[in-house]
Amino acid sequence: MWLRGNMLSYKTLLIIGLLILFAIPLLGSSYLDFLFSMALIYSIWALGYNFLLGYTGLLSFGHGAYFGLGAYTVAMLVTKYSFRPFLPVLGIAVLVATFFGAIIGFLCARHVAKYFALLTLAFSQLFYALTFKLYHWTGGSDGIVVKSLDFFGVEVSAIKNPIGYYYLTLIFFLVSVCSGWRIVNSPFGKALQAIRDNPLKAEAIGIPVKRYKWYAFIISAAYSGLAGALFAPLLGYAYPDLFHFSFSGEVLFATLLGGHRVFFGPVIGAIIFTIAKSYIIATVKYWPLVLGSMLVITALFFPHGIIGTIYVVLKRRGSKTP
Amino acid sequence: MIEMTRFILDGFFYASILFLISSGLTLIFSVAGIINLAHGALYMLGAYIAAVLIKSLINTPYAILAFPIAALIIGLIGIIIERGFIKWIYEREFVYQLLLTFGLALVLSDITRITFGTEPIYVTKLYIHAGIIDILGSPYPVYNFIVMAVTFLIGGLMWFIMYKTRAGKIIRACALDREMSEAIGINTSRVFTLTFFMGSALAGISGALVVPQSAAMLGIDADALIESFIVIVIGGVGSIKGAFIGSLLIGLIRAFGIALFPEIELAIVYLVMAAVLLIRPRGLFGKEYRVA
Repeated sequence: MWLRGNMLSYKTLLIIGLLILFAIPLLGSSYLDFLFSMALIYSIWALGYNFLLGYTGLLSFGHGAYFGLGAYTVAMLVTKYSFRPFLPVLGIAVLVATFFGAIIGFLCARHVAKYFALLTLAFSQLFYALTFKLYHWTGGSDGIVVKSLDFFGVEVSAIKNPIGYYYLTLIFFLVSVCSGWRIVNSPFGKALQAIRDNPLKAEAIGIPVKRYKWYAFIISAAYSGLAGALFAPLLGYAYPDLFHFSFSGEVLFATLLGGHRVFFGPVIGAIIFTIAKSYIIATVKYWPLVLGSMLVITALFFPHGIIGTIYVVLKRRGSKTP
Repeated sequence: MIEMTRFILDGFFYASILFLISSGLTLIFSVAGIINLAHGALYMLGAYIAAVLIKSLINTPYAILAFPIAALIIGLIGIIIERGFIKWIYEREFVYQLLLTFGLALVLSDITRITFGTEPIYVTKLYIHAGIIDILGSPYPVYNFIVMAVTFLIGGLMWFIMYKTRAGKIIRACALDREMSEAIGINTSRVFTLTFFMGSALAGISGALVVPQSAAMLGIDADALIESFIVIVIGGVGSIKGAFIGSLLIGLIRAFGIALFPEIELAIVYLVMAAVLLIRPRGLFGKEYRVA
């Protein structure tokens, strides 16, 4: 029932969720700290991704590119150029991802639906290929190890201080959620939804469709870059597979798992996805096979995602009993 | 001058392979409206099947049969994919169509990895066996000419089927307007299945033809998929003529790029694509497409 607009219980759920997120380090398991840091990073990524998929109706297969750009920028700055202050490094990484997002988005946003998906996929594979071609700079298939960063004199290391890194991620996650909420509910966000629902009508009422699609692309690239920038120090490693299109598939699946028509859908999807992935990888070797099968099953049977399906079921039940 | 000839011939060779892959992709798109992201995986699977067959038949004249058999098997897999999965989502939003074929691509390429292992399979014996011919004073492998000839044959056959037979007329009618074709009594779902068979078989044969010249290895699925995307984006999505011109363009650029600027060869290909997109967003031979 809480999904049907009862604001009080909606808020209660939010507060419970927030308390759980704050309480996770109290469990005292550094593996859980790591896992949930990862889950929050995926959530930031999925939130950004959903600006395009859920709110503008554009399907991208290339958001691994901006995630990877964020991660690689951090890795290069820290390890190759020994530039270690945390916030500036993060800022530069987001800027780099945003910059490339702006260029590629400019080319892609002129296209609709399937063509858009193709182009995003092609451009992300360009980065994938470049990491191998420019191996003396990017480390090729070895990737780059990320050394520890420096946060106002305190060493930032996910291995030495997992709780600290978890809370750092949590802060960025909360900032992303709040800013994302603001964007989605701003006039600009509503315009994006109008474009999603009917691009022709949106154009007719004076919304600059192409330009707004481009802006949405840039915003989502920035979020992806932030997620990637937080990811590199957590794993201590940036590797070319981040640019591969099967990695972009992960954010797509996480978003659809939670439901792309609900604001918190991608967040919940990403958390479930991360936990499920870590258990599946621990038990079977065939991760792409499992991911692929899950995508097929979602496409065929759960078009609304987890939250979306619950919502649809509740709605149906609600309409039956007046 | 001698080098020039070589580059151009290499370009034609790349173009032949690219044309076979991308015409399959574009054929399926123009008729069924589905962009089959599993196309690259089918290509890779075709390469592996051909490699294993050639390896086991290498000392017999039957080795040549590996190519049609690989094409046939991949074509049948195409039918299974269409009948088993894609059939259910023609009417759905494109997001789910892409999601489905994307999932199938991951599954197929992982199945290939599990079945054939991570080591590349080389069958260069056939390539060497075909010999070398003198072209304007420089030696050039005969095998590449065979591939070009086969591509011409297949391309000609496709043109014949599409424009000179009743089946081709029916396929073109379906591509133009599915509802109308159904209304005049065409069994469109059978046409779609046939199209998936043809498109997938094209992916299979191109994978098989590449094997003797290079190898069957993991990762060629994504490369093939992306390159054929670039080709059809340049040529215009859904246009076989566009696929032909796009393949020639990309094939020649690649041949000269690899020889002259190996570091940025790939970037040139993307720059050409970006330029075409900026000047002519629907591609060189693409039809004006509807919004959404």
